[in-house]
Amino acid sequence: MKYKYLPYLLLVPVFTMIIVVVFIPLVTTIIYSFQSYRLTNTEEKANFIGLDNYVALFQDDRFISSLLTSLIYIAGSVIGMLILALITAQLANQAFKGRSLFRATILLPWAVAPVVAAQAWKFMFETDFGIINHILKSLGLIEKNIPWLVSSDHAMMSVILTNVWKTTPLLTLIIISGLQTISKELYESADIDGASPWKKYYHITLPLIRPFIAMGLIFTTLQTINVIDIIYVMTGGGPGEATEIFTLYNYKVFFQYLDFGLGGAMAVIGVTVIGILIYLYSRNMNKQMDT
Amino acid sequence: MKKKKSLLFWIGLVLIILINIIPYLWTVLTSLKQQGEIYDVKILPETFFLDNYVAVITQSGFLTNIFNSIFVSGVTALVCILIGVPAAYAFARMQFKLKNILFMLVLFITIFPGIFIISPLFSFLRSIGAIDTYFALIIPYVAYFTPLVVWILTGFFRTIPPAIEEVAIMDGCSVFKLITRIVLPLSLPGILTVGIIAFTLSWNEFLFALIFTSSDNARTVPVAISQFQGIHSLNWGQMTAAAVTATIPIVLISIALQKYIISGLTAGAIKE
Repeated sequence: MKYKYLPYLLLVPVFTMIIVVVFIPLVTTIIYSFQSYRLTNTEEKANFIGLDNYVALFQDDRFISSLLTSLIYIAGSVIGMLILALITAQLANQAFKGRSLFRATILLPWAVAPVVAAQAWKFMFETDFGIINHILKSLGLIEKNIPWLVSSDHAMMSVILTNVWKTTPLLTLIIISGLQTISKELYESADIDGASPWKKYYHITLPLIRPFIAMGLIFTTLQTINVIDIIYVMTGGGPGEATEIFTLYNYKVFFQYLDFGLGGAMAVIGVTVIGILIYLYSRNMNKQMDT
Repeated sequence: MKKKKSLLFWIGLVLIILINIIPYLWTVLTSLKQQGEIYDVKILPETFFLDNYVAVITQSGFLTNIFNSIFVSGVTALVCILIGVPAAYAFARMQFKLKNILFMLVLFITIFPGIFIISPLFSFLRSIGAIDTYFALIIPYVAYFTPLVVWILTGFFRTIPPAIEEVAIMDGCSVFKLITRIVLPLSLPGILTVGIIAFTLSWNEFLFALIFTSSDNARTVPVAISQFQGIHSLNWGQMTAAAVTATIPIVLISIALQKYIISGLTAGAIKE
């Protein structure tokens, strides 16, 4: 059906919201990034200071280290989510009694608010009466309680595990929908050739679900950076700055130090990095679809 | 071809189920324990101890927070559907020039981190005196969750055969009637699904709620829970009781309607 104006008319409300809430503020953020603009001195007008905010950022060790921390957080989360999602999706795609109940348990971490998930895990990681140390001790694996969230050696691992638990369901569901597109005949002919389950998985399943994995990873990676809730509740970025990811630091610059200029510059860099990330992911995905 | 499942399959299954449910189950169990039992790390509560729940509901402003969450999430879900349905219909059924670009834009918004646009929004809301009102939360939620609604619904609409609508149009049915009389009834399960998803996402949202509220006037449940430990330091019994109270409705709905929610969350993935 061809219409001239009607489709645009139907889109007006949605795009008005997007423009007002996302685009105009995005442009404003870019303007902030070239200004000296602190909320603490409201009387003083924002002055244009050129690239000073950007220069200050790249001389800020805490900013550089927050980028590295984000990388570790993302890498750890992606590895954990991939392993968990691939196994779960493979299991959920089999026919067995109680499969829908199994799928319901997959959805549970998705339904729980990130803040609640963070509190639940924080309590399990608790040094003295957390269940994790309790189990490790009764299994004889450790002698002294591990200070999971208090020591910088363990804090990162703890928040990664929590994020993996909370974010994996989305990836799992997308991979399941990928598995459902594979025709059974492919496996049957491989069976005739006497291929082992691992070979079938590696040569048939994995290449066919690769685009779904790529897309699921875009979503879950962005969610990982976007949802500062987990780290905010569990460690607040600490101990020290051991778990302070980029977006959490940006939040602090905005709303604890009330520096909208410097924060704006961080946001602009963040948008750029994420834009490049999405571009690389989707280019990679297209390549795999072509071959 | 049905094969017998191997032992490895069942071990994997049990392991995954445990991973998925233990953190929440442990929260539920903890909320039913007395302080002493919590510190002794007893697995099961000795008595069915409900005082934590009573304390949470009667003492703090928690009921207000729950009401705020219900109101904000409910209105958000309704508005998302109201403006999302026409947009999704346009994307699914009509041909127009900027279609692909606009659809990609919608997809992009669903994954765009809120922190990068939050400071001008804050300045704007403060300048019109809207901080700590429902309005301050509903506006960004609608802007952020409608794109997801549009994306999922476009997938749903495409599964409805267009022949029915073509006949209706030939009979002189207006677009408004077409949507209200034919498209809506046919896609009611899809609309219900996106409504629940939008409700859940608003219910769980934290960043906007943290920054745009400053008192129980508009403060929603996630922010209340994140600040819980500050006021009641180390009272894990009450903390977990609050967490369970705030999540149990969503968790039960999600489990009951898991089939729809899963198809909703993956609808876009299959289509594109």
